[in-house]
Amino acid sequence: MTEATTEIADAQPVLPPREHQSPIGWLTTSDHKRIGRLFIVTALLVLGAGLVCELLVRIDLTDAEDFVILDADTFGQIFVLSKDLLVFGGLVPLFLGFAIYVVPLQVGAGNIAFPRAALASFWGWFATGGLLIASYSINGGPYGGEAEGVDLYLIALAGVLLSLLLGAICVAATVLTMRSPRLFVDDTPPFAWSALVTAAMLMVTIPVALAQLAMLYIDHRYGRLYLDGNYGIFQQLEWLYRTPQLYVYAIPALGAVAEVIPVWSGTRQQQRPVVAYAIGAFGLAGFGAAGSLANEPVYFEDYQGLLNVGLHALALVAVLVLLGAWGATLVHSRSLPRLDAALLAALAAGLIFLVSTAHGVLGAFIDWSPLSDREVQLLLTTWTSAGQALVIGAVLLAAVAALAYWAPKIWGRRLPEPLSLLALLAALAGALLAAVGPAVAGALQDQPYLVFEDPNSTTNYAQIVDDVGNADAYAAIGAVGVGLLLAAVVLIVGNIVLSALFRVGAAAAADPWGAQTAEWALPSPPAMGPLDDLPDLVDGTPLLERADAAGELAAASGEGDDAEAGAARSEEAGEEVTV
Amino acid sequence: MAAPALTPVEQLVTRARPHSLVVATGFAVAGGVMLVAALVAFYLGFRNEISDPGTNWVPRGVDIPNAQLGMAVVTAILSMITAQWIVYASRRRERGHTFVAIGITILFGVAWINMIFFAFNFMEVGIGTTQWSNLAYTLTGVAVAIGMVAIGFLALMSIRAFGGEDGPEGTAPLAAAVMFWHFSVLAFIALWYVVFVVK
Repeated sequence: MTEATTEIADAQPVLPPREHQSPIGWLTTSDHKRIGRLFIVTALLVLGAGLVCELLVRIDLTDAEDFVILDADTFGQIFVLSKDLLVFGGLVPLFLGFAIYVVPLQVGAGNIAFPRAALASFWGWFATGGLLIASYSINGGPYGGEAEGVDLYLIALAGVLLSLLLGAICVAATVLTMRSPRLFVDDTPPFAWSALVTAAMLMVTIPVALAQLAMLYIDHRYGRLYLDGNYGIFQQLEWLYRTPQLYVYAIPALGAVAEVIPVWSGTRQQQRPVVAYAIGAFGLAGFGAAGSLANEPVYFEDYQGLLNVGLHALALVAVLVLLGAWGATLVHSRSLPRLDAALLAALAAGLIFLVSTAHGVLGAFIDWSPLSDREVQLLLTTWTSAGQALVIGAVLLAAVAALAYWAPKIWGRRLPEPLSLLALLAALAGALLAAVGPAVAGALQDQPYLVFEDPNSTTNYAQIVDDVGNADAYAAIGAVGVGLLLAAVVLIVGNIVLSALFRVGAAAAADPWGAQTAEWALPSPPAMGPLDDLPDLVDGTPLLERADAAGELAAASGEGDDAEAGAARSEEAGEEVTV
Repeated sequence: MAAPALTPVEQLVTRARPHSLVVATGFAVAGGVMLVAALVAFYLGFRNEISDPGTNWVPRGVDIPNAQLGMAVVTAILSMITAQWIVYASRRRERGHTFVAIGITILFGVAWINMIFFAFNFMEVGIGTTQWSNLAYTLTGVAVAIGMVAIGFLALMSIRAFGGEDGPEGTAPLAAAVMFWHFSVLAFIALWYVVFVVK
């Protein structure tokens, strides 16, 4: 070894600089809390835009013989745009935002791993998402007439996916490498665990779509030799927007529900390891990339059909296990749970997840079963739209719960309860109606989901469906459901605006819920910038452990009996960490 | 900010987190593996749809430069050895060895990428002429893109190493870059085998 090499100092961690308070700070921030807020608010707005597009499509399906609002040039484009906005503009970034905000605090990290990469994830997603929408504005996108616009769409979608993957990697690296040294991964809170599972599943499924986008771009730009040009794009990528792949995007929603229920039960999660395994199994069930390996959307005739049944069944079993564990937790509650919007929305999300996975299993089984005599597979009918609506509804309900729960930590105020309840009701009714109509129309009247070769035939389905029957009425029910989902998003955004900008709602203490996880030990909201002092966590629910210890101490010292100490656990915890 | 005194707070601000980049790179590699596997699967799937792919798949008259591409593969494999030399030297704070190894590795990387460009020029297969040519351009294009990312990543981490981040505690960035380098080479070999050997 040379002398020069021995002079090198040991590497020392460099603390990020303090945050800019000005609006410029939002562009240059390295604070995970700001980045998380950017994702959450923007994703909610895009989710609303996606539901508007979905509503236009659903309204057009209420007439079996003609267009209602859209026209032959735009139907296919708006159809795909709605999926893009809902899934990669709304569902995925919404809970990625929650994860970027909450997970570092839950695991005792000072900041997210690679904060600048996380910021690049947001602005990359924002910029490429803008390009994606711009591509439609110049008559591009799938089914677009402008070749350059179609190419731009393919590049922009790849950019959106890469940006989201980058954010997911930051979250996963935070959980794996930046948690408190004595906090094991399997002791992390369920939301942090679900974020890790989501990142892993995104990393093994989304690259398949990137491979397809690479092929589509080369083929579309140079010759359009084998992938049907702009008409083949959605046919290749449609697996991204339906179950079981949709389950991957919904994993953190389950994690959020798993956070809310024990807190409102005032007790620890029953069968906590089982909850973690079930969330992991649900994630594995979302391995929808397997379906993409077929070059035609109709493939449920052999082992792939059986695999599809198995994946959906695994998701159903996972949801049943989760519901059982949550039910046991509620039963073990030391006092009657508070029926707040957060708990009700969490329970409603669980219910819709159950309906969604049952719907998935039923559809996959019928499509695969040799006993079925259907001419058109359910996958190609609006049965698929129903599955999408259920997952979107479940995630939206989980978002209502997550916002009601974490809003005090994010914005410093509790969301006004009436609006949260209204949003919950709208999302619940919307999810059911948006699913029931299309499911019945698809199952009974074979109403097409999308005619890939000619999307306009989707609207004029009387030409291709033998028995139109009441399909138009069922489609109207679905449209009403989508309208209610849109109303729910408007209520959620309005609630946040009222709370964060107009200061409506009670100012929140550090822990207004008697919560269990570490983020509630910090002020609401925590100060900008990285934490100066990091907690040394040994468990994912440190506040619960501390409150239990305080209860035992009080009981031992004769200050109250066990029951009283248990009932007052939440309040004690709140006071203790607020001081 | 008030400290969340959940348990006795230690001096944890300086917690060493040397493995974040390695773990994040591991995730990126996992995604890259899926990308390459998907491309291979799609390629073979499309090839399987062709009747008699032995004669109808690759356009007639295309002369694949097997010797040159084989040399590119050997070069890429050699670069894996020199890449591992980077980590070995960096851990021992042999800065001279470290930067010689980095230079040679990047040179090898540029060489095998250059050889791919040469091969396509040699074959005179125009993009957009046949299904095979489009797929070949896609698969090798992805291999080249991954290789370029690997070169850029290694160069970036080298700059950090110039700043003094090496030794047993600080070698993780270079180790992460080398991990990605190994993946890029294996990805290239897999795609080369499928496109130019199996054809």
